[in-house]
Amino acid sequence: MAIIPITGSRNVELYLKGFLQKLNFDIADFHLYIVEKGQVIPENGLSIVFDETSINSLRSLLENLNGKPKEISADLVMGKKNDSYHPLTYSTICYFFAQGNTVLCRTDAEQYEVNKKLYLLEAELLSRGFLRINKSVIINVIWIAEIIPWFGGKLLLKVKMIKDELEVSRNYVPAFKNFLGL
Amino acid sequence: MIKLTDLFFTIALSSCTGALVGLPVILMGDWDIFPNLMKSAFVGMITGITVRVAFTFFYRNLKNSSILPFVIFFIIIAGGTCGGACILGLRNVLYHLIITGLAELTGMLMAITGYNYYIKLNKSLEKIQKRFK
Repeated sequence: MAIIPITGSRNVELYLKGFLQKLNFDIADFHLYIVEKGQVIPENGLSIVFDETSINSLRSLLENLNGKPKEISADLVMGKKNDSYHPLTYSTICYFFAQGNTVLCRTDAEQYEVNKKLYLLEAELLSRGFLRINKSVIINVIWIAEIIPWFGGKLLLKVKMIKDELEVSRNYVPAFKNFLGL
Repeated sequence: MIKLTDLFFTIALSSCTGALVGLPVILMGDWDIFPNLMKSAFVGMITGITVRVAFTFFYRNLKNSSILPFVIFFIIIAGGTCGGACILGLRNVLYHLIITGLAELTGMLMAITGYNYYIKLNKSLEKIQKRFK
């Protein structure tokens, strides 16, 4: 069955595209539509309408449609440090950040190089609670200790365990607030 | 560290607030509007920058107390407004009371609005974190 995610907010579209690609769905055909509540429902074909609260049910439905078992390695990312590789679970990663052409991830103790592009991580990991907060950082929402409203309409995020403070730039504040359900 | 864009934002906001706060007294005193409005905006700007620097300092050093920053803002706004008005030659006690009252009202309203926004953001964060745990 072919599925295309359409007419959702930017975050939802990215999330669904990443998720469907992981399940090897063909997103080029137009038989079944997934539409976020409040968006225009296409006149032809069959549409699944969902909202933020039902996104987990939608995930289960798509997984069952495809019948593909979850990969064990899906929870891991390889981090490189001093020419050695370390498997890292996503839950231990506080945030990913870009430094020039290199993408790194920060855990509570160390910093590792990751062989993935930031925009791919953004699409892939939204469903795991990772969210882009500025041009160069994707944060794991679990690791946010506190949000401070900052000047010029920006937000400052304090990260748990480590003393890092990350800024949500003005362009990303609406998406961040949307993610929080505000 | 205060970024340049943040500083411009603070200057613009506090200058406008200073001008607005001074306007009723300028009109009541029947003074020249433009030069006095500029003076008022200048005092507002100085007070605003002081509050901004104080906020950054207290955010880093006194984060466990939620009341103390409000008390300190109150004192800085009152001191800045009265002091600035005195330097610019305002001697009438009634005018001082009006201008300080307006400045406090505006400043504290902004501070309370900001605090409520802070609470709202962090409550939502708590909810979303439960969903991903």
